[in-house]
Amino acid sequence: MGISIDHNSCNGCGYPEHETPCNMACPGDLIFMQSNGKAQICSNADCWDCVACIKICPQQAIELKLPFEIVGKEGSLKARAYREKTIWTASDENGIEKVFETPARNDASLTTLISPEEFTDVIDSYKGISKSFMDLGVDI
Amino acid sequence: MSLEISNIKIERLKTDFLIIGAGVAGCFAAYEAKRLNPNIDILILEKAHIDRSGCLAAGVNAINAYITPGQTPSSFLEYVKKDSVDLIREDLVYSIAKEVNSVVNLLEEWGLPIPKDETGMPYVRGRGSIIVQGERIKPIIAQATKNTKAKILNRIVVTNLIIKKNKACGAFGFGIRDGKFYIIEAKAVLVATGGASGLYKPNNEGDAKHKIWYSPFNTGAGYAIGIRAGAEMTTFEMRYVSMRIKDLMAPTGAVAQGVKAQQVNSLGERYLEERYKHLGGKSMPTSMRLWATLQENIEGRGPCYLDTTHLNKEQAERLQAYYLHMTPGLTLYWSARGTSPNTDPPEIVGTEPFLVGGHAQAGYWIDINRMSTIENLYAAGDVAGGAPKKYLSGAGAEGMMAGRDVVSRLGSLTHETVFEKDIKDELSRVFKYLESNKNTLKPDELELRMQKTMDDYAGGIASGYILNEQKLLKARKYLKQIKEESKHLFAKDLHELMKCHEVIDRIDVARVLIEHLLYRKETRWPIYQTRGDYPNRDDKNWLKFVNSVYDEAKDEIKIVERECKALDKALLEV
Repeated sequence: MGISIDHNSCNGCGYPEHETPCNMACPGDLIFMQSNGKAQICSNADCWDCVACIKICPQQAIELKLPFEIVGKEGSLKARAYREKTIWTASDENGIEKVFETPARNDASLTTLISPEEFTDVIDSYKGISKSFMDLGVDI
Repeated sequence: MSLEISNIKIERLKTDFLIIGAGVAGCFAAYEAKRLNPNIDILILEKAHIDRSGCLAAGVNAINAYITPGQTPSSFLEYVKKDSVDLIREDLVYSIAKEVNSVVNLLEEWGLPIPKDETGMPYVRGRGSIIVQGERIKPIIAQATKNTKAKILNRIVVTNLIIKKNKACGAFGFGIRDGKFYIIEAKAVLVATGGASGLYKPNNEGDAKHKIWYSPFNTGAGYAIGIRAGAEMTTFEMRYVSMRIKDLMAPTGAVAQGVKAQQVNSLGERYLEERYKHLGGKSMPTSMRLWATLQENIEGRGPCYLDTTHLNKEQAERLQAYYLHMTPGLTLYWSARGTSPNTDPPEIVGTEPFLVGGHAQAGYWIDINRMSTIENLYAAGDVAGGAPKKYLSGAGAEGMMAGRDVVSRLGSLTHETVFEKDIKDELSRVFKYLESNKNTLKPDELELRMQKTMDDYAGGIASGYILNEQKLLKARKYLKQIKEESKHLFAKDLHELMKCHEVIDRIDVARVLIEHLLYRKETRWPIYQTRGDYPNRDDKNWLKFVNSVYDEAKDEIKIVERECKALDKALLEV
């Protein structure tokens, strides 16, 4: 296993008008949109567990699952990326949660460099390649 | 969208400076070139998306090439030289050492959180290594790169370089999202795609096959396009095998250096000191510490651990959280098992071999400005050879050096017209796997066949990393057959077309690797390169570089020897 996408929570993020955040983020080009407008991973065996899609999913529909053969236990990791921090929730097989927080950017850059627009700037210079990326507000 | 070859749309673009790969080396090259000359036109091609591509997709929790207080570029050079058994490009390593701190300063300026002690200094984790909180490092670098106004095209797979009269003048590729064939004309080209994973059978199988240390999406494309273009490659035989935390194959630095966990065997012995003192004990070269660990297992004292049982509950929790910056799966591993580092110390094993110039030194043979043996073709980061232990900050430094050289030479560079025949040939080579004919071979199947061959005959995990001539000759023979088989590949969509080209690139890289492994008749770097038939180090005959040049027309790999030179003392003064 790599990731699991909850199709009750996935709302398609405006696909096909927009490239979805999970589809944009995956370094392995593994996430596709199904005809019902929900995201799906084409091969969990190919997933590197980088969690990029999980952090950026506005619906928190994605979680990390470890392959049974190497852990032998159920458990999941969720994460949500905010401008200044990432909040993580790791659960064991009984659903007991442990919450972690990691900083995203240093304080100096938050006050000097960052304006809200800079978090949505994944529209590339060449038009027609990537579709415009949706504004996720305070999340990146 | 139709996937018939006759319907493929062609996109022709022209730029001054083409950068292949938007990782650390590529982004820093763009940043430096734009800083020096805002008018230079730069195009970056990225296989994934610049925000989360390559090695840094998950993040990093340390920067491992940094001149810490008390160290100097010269002492860094000496350390790298000793760890690499005296064979390195001293000029390249020294030039990197002079710039790694400025790369870190830039990263901090762009927003990377670097914790500081009460004196304002970064926390030193080990010699040349500082702690960072780098979960967001890739978006931070991406943002700085976008701010330069360099053009960025995401989801483009580069399939070959365009070379005319031994000069690089562009590249071909295809779009994974738009299905277009890209022809890029450029005055200078930088290859910065990262190294090669997936050449050997990995530690885990099936659904866990990509729980590997190095990015599975770094498929050796940068090496392969250089090999096919006839660029000279160096020291492929110095493979990189690392000691990692079992199952998740997570890096060990945070445990070994961060919380000073010792390597212990199942008897609780600190075996490096107790059993291998004569080889240097704890300060053995990196590969020897892994060798000692394998030895403990062979002699029946495994498994081996990094002993974290001394940590208190709070320290253990901090260590667990620390991995969220780099290998979040490991954090989950402890949580899912309901354990913590102090009750469940990480077990250590060796990975499969990788080719990665940032850790070992497989890569393009380059000059001090990072230009390869092909004019106007540059290489930086994990694809650039001769400079081990450059890591992230060294990759940034090399990118900046390449960017600087391109800017300084820009006035004398021109565009070349690409031959129509070359365009036609490449378009057909790239897209032919999409044609629905009798082909049924899946890229994953061919990859497994190649990985099995490498594992069995070219010193993979199963053979204890040990090489000998007879096995390598078998690997050579089988890889030639595997290359032949690649013509039967079939891709049902653009994602699979990418995977077809990834496995083709890996086969080309593996074949060059075999020739390097065959040629060096000594054992210089145990584990990375252990010749069972030539078990000793032989400085008299082999303190020199083994380089190679591929001739595509003849399908021949020619070996070239290069001298190992001491650093020009004049450089030290600068």
